[in-house]
Amino acid sequence: MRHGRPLLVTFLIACVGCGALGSVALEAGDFAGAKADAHCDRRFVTDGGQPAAFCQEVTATVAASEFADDCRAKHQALAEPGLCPRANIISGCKLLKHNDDDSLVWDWYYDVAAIVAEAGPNAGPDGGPTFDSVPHGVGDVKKLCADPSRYEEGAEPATP
Amino acid sequence: MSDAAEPPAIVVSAPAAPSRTVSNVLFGEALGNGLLYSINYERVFSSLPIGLRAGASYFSYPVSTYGRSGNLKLATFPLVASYYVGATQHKLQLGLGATILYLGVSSDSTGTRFEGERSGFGVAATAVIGYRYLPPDRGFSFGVGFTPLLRTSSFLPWGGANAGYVF
Repeated sequence: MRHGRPLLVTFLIACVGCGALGSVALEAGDFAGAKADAHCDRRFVTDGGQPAAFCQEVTATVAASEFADDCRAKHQALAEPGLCPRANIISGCKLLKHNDDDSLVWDWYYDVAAIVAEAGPNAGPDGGPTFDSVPHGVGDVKKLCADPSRYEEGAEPATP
Repeated sequence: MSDAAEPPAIVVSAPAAPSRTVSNVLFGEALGNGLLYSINYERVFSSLPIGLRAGASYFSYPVSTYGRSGNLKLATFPLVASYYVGATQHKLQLGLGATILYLGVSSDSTGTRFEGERSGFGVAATAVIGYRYLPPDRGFSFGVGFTPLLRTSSFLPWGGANAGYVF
């Protein structure tokens, strides 16, 4: 027990130091211009991925390349630099989760009727539905934004 | 007893060593004008008293850990002219200069490059207001100061600490 407090203090100092160093590096990276935008368009997938009717966009992040690689690896979706395509957006959700690099994240939900018409209703993996769930209007998107099982730390409705 | 007076003592002082008019400083700086860190050479002209400094730093960071992704690369080259106030080795440093920046953007595992607005070469204006310990001959030198950086529509209130050797 005698060593408990010094160890705890050492641990706390180390953690504060790590956080401060990370914050300083982010400030420097931001000033140098290291932040970029990227998006993960879940409507378009490869290798048996399940399409979804939204595109996730992250702005001013230092981790754009990691975001893109995660998009491909976890969702087999289309990842590119820049913002999500604006055409056919119904509306979106701005995620309230705070990121360490102060980047902002939006999910934009699309009218995918044209994609379904072209690909058919059962073009998903193993002949399943082309899209998991499809919002049909702004009201549906607002419900998605308010769904805590989808957005654990909350989201607010947004327009492009 | 002799009346002869004792000869007056002759005190011969050694000629004063000529004070150095120019000295060189090699030092490293944490944060400061080089943004994250820098290794620097400064030529100090004591008679003026002005110091001209040039430095460099390089930083590479693997933004994505996936195979074949490319690192973010940042190189800086601080160039600063400083005016030193103070007669002793304890100086007030007032400096102005520029920091040349090079940002190599990261790329993901497919080679897609994620460029911010300022990839490639750029220049930031910079300044120093601080304390500097500069021994007149040889010895350890150190300093600390406010080192802001300024680019178009971007101001970074920054600081730095340095340590090095005068020779």
